[in-house]
Amino acid sequence: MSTTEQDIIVVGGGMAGSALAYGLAGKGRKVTVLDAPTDTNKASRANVGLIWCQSKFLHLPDYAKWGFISARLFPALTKELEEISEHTIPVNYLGGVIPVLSAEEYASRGEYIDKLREALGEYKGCMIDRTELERKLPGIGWGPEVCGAAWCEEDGVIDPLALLRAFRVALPRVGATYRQTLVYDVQPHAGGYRVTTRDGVFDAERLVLAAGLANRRFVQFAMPDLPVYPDKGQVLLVERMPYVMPIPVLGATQTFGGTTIIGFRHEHSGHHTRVVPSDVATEGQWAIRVWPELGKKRVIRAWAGLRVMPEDKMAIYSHLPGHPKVTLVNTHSAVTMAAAHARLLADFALGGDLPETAQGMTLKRFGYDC
Amino acid sequence: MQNTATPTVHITLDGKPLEVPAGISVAAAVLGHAHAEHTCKHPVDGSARAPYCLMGVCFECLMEINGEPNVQSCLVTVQEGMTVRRQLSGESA
Repeated sequence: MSTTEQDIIVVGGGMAGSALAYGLAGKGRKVTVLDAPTDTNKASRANVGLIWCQSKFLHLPDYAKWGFISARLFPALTKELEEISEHTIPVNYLGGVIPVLSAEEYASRGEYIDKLREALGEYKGCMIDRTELERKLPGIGWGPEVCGAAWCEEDGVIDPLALLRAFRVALPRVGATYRQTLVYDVQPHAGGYRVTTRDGVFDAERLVLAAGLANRRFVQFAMPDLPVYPDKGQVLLVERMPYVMPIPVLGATQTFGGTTIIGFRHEHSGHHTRVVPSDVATEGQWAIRVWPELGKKRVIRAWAGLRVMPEDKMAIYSHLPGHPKVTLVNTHSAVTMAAAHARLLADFALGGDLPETAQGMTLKRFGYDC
Repeated sequence: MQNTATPTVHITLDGKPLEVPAGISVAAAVLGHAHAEHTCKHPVDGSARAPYCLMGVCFECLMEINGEPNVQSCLVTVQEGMTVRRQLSGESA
């Protein structure tokens, strides 16, 4: 069997693997990305494309900060990717809103934001009343129950498939190799690592494991189990309408093509990706309360996807126990974090330190020595 | 349409009568028998669109059929007396 020698192999060419490989190529290393065919489960192809920082991770302030750091790196990254790939990436950096349907919800979200502002020291968001919401998104006829929204100016929305495509086109242009193949196995080999694939064997000095839920299988040479589980979401796709949502609404987000993706469920149901009509119906009912116009439109598709969810909901950036040249990346927010992954993680994968904000995101927090 | 062996139906397209073979899709009737260049406009950018995939995937063939807007015309079979309107004003109703 032929082998191909690389400095670094990145297993997984979704949003996380592509972003980190792009960063590694920028360091002048010989990088090969091995990506599974598109008929495998891919979280990178089942999401809305929110760049979302607000109203989350009060209990993990460093992780909340990490999101803001990434969001601030996005504009320069997408501009650079557009230039290198010669592909347009639809993206808006205009903020984001979470509509609220009752005074109680308005108060509790406001309280959460106040605590978050205190924990982070800085937070460019607040609660806005219905009048201000109408001013920010004048094209949307809000339902009578909508009394306002949580607002943050640092959120945004990007076409996730366009971003992924731009990465893919850019990778070979910055010197990386992209191969679509099935990875069967990863093992230590001759002081480095050997990746066995459907199309042959690849050897490398260093490895990045960015294969989403499949990382649980690939880490087994170093550890028995990975604290990452599938978190199922189900969404409805509503037919095209004129574009009225340059500021994304969480839970019912209009895409750049005019369709609207409705969904916010988190389910623990193993690896099933079935759509359950009664489940998506509850999402649709909420969306119609927010934006009644949706109720007059056709649902044209529904699908389910599996988020890659670490047990404590925080990203994992870590070497494996006993394997300092293997870097693991697992996150449920690979779109929001894409800019941080592209710009700030390469040194860590090459043996350096994690950025200060991310230093608590290794496997050490789960009791592993790494 | 002169071949009497082929059963036909009568529809109207944008108010004009049209005789087409029975059993074909509305999209096929409008493309193949009325030779329409475009059948709808994209609601976001206003660009003119026409039936493309002819199998229910691309949503480029939306037309108003019997008063109902935004119907995938490639998935609907022509029926006697059917009223079809192209959606060229740019907005989905």
